[in-house]
Amino acid sequence: MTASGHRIRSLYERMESGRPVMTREQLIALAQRVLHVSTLSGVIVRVHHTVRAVTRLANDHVLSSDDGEILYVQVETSTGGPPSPIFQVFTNQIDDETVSAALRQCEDLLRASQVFLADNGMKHMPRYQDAPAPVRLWHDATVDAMTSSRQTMIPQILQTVQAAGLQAAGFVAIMARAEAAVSKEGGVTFFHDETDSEVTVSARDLARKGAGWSGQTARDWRTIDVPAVASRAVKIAKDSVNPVAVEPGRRTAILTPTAVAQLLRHFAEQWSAVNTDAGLTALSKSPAGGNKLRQRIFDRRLKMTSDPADPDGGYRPYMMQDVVASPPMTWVEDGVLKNLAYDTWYAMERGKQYADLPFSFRLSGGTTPIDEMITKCQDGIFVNAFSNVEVVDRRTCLLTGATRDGCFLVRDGKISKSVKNFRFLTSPFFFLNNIEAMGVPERAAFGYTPVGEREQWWSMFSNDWPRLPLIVPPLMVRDFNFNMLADAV
Amino acid sequence: MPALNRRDFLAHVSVAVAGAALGGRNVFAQRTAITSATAVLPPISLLPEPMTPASLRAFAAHALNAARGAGAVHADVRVCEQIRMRVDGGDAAIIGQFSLSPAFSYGIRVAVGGATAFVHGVTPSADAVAAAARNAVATARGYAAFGEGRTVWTPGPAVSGEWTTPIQLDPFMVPLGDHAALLSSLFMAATRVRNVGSDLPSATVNWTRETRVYASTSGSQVTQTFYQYEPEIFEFKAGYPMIEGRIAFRPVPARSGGYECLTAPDLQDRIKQQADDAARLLTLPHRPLDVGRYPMVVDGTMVGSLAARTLGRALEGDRVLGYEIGASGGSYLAPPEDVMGTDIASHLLTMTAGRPAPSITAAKWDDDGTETREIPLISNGRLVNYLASRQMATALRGSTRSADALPGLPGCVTAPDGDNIPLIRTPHLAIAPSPSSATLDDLCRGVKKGVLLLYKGYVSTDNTVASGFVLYPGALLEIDRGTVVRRLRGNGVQFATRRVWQALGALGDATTLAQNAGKMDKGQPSQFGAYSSSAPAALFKEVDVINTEIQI
Repeated sequence: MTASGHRIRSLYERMESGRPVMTREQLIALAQRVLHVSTLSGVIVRVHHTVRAVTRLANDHVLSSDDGEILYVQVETSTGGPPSPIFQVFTNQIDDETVSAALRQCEDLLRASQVFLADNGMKHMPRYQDAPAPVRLWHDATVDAMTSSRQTMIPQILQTVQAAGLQAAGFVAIMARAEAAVSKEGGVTFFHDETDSEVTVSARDLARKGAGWSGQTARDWRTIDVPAVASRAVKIAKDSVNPVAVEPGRRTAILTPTAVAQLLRHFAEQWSAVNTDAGLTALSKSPAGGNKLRQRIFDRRLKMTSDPADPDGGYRPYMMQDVVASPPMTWVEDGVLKNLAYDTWYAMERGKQYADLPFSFRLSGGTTPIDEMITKCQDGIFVNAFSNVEVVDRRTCLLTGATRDGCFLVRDGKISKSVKNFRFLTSPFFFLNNIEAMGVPERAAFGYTPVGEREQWWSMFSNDWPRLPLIVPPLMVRDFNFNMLADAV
Repeated sequence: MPALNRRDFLAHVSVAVAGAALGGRNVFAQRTAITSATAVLPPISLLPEPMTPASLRAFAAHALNAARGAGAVHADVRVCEQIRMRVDGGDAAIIGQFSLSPAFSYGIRVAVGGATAFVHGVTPSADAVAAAARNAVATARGYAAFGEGRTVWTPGPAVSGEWTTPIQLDPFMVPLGDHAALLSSLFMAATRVRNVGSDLPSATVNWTRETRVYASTSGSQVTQTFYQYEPEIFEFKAGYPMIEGRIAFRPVPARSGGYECLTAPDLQDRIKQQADDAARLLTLPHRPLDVGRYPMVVDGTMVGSLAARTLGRALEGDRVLGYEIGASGGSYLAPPEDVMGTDIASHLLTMTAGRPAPSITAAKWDDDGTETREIPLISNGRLVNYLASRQMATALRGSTRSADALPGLPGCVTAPDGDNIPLIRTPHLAIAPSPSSATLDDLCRGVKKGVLLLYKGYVSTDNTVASGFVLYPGALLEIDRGTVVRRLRGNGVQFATRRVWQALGALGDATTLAQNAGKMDKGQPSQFGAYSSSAPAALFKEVDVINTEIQI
């Protein structure tokens, strides 16, 4: 009980109440408290509040929970156009003194930069537009699962894996998030809330070097099938025992949606219009600059889209960098590059539609099930998942990494044997032009996906767990470069 | 209502903002006048008063009392107040991008019935901390129903005391204008050299000051104040603004310390020297090397990066014992009963682990309450220790052949802040240089045809660290008959980890020692932990040089 008689509810009480994060009214009230004392225009206050419930399992038992909340208040000031810097201050404390201090910092710097910009003849550019249509990414069932799921899903995982004589590890994470952005100048208010969840299971046969992994991720917990996830991990682990070494080289690869998602998680930065026009990405016409808009860049069947209201994923409906609605975008259609991601200021300069980088997207164009891909494959490698996928060269999106948790030789239309893991070297701009077959897209579980060295720059958007949805199909591609054996289990 | 500063906050427990679910304060502070004199203000003046260590200790005590009261058998807590300052070197007319980000966090770990739970939060109120502790106990009780009574963690023997990073000058007391001017001058020390530039118009650095209290139900209570410096963007490119063929170097690694990290009298000269050296390399032609196996010479910064990512990481006890399976992965240096006491590298390699100042990892106690110390990891190529926590040490001890092979504890269990669960992390690794004279040039001189890696790069490995790929080396060069003759284009270096360390052919002497620092990810959800190294240059007898140039 507080001095004023106001009772603070615990984290679990809030979970059980069905609303563990701040409501729209609370977030906006908090943001407006800060704006109220600001005398300048060009101020945006964002508040993000996340609550998560995490269980980790390892070596056949529960390792620990990792429950808690993450809060940050971001005060931002800017004149809105290039080369104006954006002054941002983050804090996770919402007392008036701290947030006022954050505001003062930003305002001091904005005043100083306005003098600089005025002296240099630079003009202000407006940044704010109407609020976007809300998207429904909140599911009460997911919030319920924060407290109710542990007593069922933990034994489901442990018993399924142990019954097969294997060792269990796993990760179950459930999240609720609410965020709001309020701008002083435009009087615009954005609010968004969402839930998300991910279950991953690893099963190992230590004696016979078998390892299997499976995962599922969904915003609505009711669609998560924990026994199925555990059973799939068990099957892969049992099939993967006693792996043999196979000569590295270019082979046909059959990739699960998780494997495809892990390869494509670095895709977003390729779509930066600024970098592309400067000759810095694989979508550049040449190192000297220009872009490949309206050119065919992938297999003709491929379509790549982003939509905040995607039924299998979805994401916040406003752009991170500016307080504007994030429009649905078609990036690629019939294999042709249709759009790049223009910042608001660059879009205004070029007369283009602005859009966020495609950290979340859907890749579609086929319906072939994985079993049929295997049947059609005379000689190839089935890859369940990759680990540590990193960008070698941004200009070509050349990637390296290694397979893990289930890698099999496919011969004459059948899984032939378990093989030792490989390192690989490839680019999506290769393998998406070498598609033999494509399946139905689904939201892929990422499992453990560390922030890569280059990704740290984008980590606020791309690594904020859970990762933004990638809805991708299984693929069968030719000439995938497995370039070295990796003796990893 | 009287104005409350944050010092008084705990005295008026949990004043809640009406309607908000979280604790907070509802009194507006007085605004300071905004004047052009801001530049002469020290950063600390722009912030509310920090909480006192006594306040943080009070929070910790409150959490432990609540945990005990709820039935915890063991409990520990980390309470952290942190200020992070991000500074750009800027134009004289503006300060540049500058921000001060205060943060408060805590994490409570409890053990009940053989199960462990961890709950974290950010609300600086005694009630919230106590509620979090009770929540953790409730969760652990629930988990205990599924376990076999195994407890992975228990607090260690009681420790108490205080420690502060040794500093000469608090960076938060230095006027903002001075920060910007210093960074500008360091930036220009490099960019004044012909053909040297940067992708961004200035350097950006982060300073962190954190007070962290660790306390446990076994009676521990330690208070540490850390000062750390981290270059966020402090990289230069010789060959700028070209993209192809340029040489990247980062002259100042992250470390612990105060403002003196950047005010050493010879620092500008050292930066200029690096810039000159890198610019000289631009005169070399730029061509690919045929793929194949070649000897590789590596400078100290790159050896440190290799060591941390392929040895340190593989020696983390939780990876070795399978606790990171499904997360960051396992280790090729497992199982311990087969690997401990065997030769895992060339006899030339002797490596220790610890957390000395001024490395970025410096501390007196870790986040398990273990006092930090230097321990041997590899002696003349032989594995003699893993990086262990107390609980992992027990499991590793049981796995080894020899009863004498008791894993030493360097105190390497850390969490990046209060609301992350502590994990075993690679700390500061020190590789002993060659006692005989051997410069980098000497190492190259013995190479008929090979490659030279300079300046810090990044090593990507697979999930058991059994193989690796060198990413973004500052410079990748060709050695031909003992002389550096070309910058390499379209080539990469990959290796099998065990083989590359067994192929260590020579080490540089003490004059080649270089400091390095970086971050590695771990855990799920993943968290970053800092590592650092001190390592000499080295010659590896063979690595795979591959082609990375593709046409799309």
